[in-house]
Amino acid sequence: MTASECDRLAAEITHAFLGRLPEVRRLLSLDVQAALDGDPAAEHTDETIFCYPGVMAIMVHRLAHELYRLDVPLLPRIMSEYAHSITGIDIHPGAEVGESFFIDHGTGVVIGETTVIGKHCKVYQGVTIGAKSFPKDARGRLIRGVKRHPTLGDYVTVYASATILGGDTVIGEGCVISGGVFLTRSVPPGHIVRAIGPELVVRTNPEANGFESHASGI
Amino acid sequence: MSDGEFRPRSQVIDTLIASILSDERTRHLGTTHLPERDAIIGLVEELKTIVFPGFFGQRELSRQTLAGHVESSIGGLAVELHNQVLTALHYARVLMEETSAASSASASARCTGWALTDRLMLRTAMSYAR
Repeated sequence: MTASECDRLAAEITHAFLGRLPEVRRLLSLDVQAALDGDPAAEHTDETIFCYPGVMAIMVHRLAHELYRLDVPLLPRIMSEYAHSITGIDIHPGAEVGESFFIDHGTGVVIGETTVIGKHCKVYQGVTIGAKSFPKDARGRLIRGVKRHPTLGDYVTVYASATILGGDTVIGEGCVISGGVFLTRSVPPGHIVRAIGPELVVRTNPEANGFESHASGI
Repeated sequence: MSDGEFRPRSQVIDTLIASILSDERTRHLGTTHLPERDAIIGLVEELKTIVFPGFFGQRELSRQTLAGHVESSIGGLAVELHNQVLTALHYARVLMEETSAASSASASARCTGWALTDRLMLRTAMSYAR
């Protein structure tokens, strides 16, 4: 590519990106509404725009994703890692995220490059939508460009610290993935997945003399 | 400060320079086309004022002043975005040429480079059709 071709291409990409801003705004408006609808602690959409890291992260993601789709080198990653640094939410700009998406709390969320997320999905803090071990070619180099991350259908909710891995893992429409689940296989639509919890042992604290009466209502 | 006290510092600098020169993965010297992280973050902050006007950036926007704000923001944004995209494309081109030159299968790499260029052109053209 010659210097003049680079110049022409840069102008075309800039024009194409700016032309997408009305659509990005439409999607963000739905995301903001999803944040209000998804969190009873939110009292107004203004609060979600000013305060919510999930709204900030999806805003930067939707912008970076447009540049990613236009095959712009490096810029989308710099943008998404900036959002990561200020929100704790790591969304690769290649991830395809449907409308009305809400990340609640957000810290520790990871969404990989080839993830596909449907409409009206909700994700909580600590969720990983990631890859299993990376496939390599005959020379031992990582194979790039294959789908490595899961697909979530519409209306999927993933609760805190769940981990969903693999490019052939598909979470069907309307599924709920409970907190702490580790999932590497597909789930049919309309199912709830939960892990069997560890056995809990509750015993008296010998150093907390006098607290037993306060705890009697527990 | 005596010479004896200065020498260790000089050794550190010499060692540091040698370290920088010996590892091209962790430095850029004489590179003219390198994306500017701070400028790209500036773009994100400017875009915030366009996608959420009134929340960020200029305050006291009204229906009367909105058009001026959007026009002014988009104008400045377009210039800086073009600069950064252009820099990134040049950067990728130079990187590709260096990779191509270093590769024993340079002809194959150049074909890959041209294929990438064709793909970029096609993607951009298709984006107009969306």
